[in-house]
Amino acid sequence: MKKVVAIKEYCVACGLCEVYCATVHSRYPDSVLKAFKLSPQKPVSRVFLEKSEQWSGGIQCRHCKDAPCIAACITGAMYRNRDGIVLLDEERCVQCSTCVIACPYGLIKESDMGGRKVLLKCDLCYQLAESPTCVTYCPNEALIWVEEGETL
Amino acid sequence: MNYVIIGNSTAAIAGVEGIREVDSQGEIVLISRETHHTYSKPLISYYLAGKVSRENMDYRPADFYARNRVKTYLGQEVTSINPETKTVHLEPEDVDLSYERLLIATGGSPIVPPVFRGDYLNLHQFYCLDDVLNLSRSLEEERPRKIAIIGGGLIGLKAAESMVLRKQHVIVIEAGPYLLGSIMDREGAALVHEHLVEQGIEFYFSRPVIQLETGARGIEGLILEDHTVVACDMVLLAAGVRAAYPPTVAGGLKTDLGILVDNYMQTSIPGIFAAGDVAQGFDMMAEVSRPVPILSGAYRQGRIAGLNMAGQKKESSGIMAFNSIPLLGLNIATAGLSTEVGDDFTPLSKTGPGKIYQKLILKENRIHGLIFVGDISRAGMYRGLMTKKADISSYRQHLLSSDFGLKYLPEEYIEEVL
Repeated sequence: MKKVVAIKEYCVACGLCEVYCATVHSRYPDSVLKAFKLSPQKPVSRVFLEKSEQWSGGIQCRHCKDAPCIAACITGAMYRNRDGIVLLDEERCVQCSTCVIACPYGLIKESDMGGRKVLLKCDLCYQLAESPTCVTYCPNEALIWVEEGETL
Repeated sequence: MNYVIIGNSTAAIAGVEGIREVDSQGEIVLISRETHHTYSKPLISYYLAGKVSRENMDYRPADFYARNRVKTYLGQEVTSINPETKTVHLEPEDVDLSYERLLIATGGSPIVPPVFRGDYLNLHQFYCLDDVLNLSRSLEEERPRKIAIIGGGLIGLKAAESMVLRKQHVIVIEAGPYLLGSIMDREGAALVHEHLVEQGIEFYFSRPVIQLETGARGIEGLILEDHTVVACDMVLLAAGVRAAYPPTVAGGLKTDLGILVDNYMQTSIPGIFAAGDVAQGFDMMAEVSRPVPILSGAYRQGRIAGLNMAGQKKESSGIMAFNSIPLLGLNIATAGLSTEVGDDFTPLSKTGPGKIYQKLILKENRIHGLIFVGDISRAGMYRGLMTKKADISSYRQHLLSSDFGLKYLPEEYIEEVL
């Protein structure tokens, strides 16, 4: 399956991956301004910009083949869809946060949605026809959308 | 190949999924004493608290058995297993089913301390769905005012939480010196205790119940070792779980605290596998064979058993105990060891602000355990380092820092993740 890969040499840590990820998952997916100005809660990104003095890169759920979060999920809410994407069914999630400690990269995040706890993870924007939003809006092509194992 | 699976919880379901990854044709028969569609046991407290509906307790969708072509015998008990003829006998159906590969995934059964053995109307187990369906009915019919919970472990405290959310007065009796003894150290447990006292729960420690006061309603008081009398009008048992062995196996399976299995989840009898709470596999952090009764372990063992039963050689590297248990708004996550078991272990910890406690247990430049209370957001990353047996010496000084992340990790680790 296709995955998002970060090229840390190209990344300039602009943070647009986080901005657009948060926007597309907000109530106003088409407008950054509206998403951040009108949403009742500040939109939250599911991609994390990791940066040190030497490098940076956007990172999100790896959609592991042998996914620890699926094995650990107590409700069955964490599942893999037909395309191999690891998704969380929010309807069935009881916010036990077992996936937070299960994810070996710390890429599942708890967020407070106006007093209601929710667990957030990358869904590879599977409902969009095009590439994931973080890839689409990365100005430097530091995030790319490639078949697994494909060389750059 | 044909398969028989005894059990219908996590390990059994993972067994089905493991088999079907390899063998789409073989016949799978699944037998369960319980009559319900597969459901998630840890959700029973969420159900009582009204946080999950009965339908959403299902561990897999309604068409799971059909889609995986599993023939089920629900409400049936296996009364004997014969490895000579490779058959199991079922009652009340009174049939013999033959198998080429058998998976024992019978789970655990709750421990009943001797003092509670007897028939008391207001004594409830807190282990499976039928227990909470009964309990739910009793709560509505009997309207108890004071509920005593026996056991301050994971199950006991989740039960306590659900009762508090139902506006019940709750008293927890823990025989040991502190809460969550199997996964927590004293300092972390003290924070959890403080939080739960603020939520109105009463606690008694280090004094087991030695006698009961009984009356018309059943149990009306608990007499503790120091002769303290705790009045109550309902009792929930959450005193721990032990392996629920299947009935006599001719030839005998080797057991210790669970059915002994190798790294392929095969028992001492070829062709018979075991997984989940009934099995005793390898604990990768304690580095010994011992039961690790947690859902993720049951899933991993069940899947590996399924793969091997269907002929794909897949070895387990062992399982790690880890939990996340929010309790009335306080997050708690633990993994691996919870206490330093010898001189060569070094704890690294951080407290505050507020109800935050984070501790790593280090030995020979590796993380062997973690206890996070209050803030668990980076727990997964540390657990990842534990799984990989990563050498932490080059970034030891950054562990538990508020900005700990990939940036402190070695190049090859970063490359692997990105």
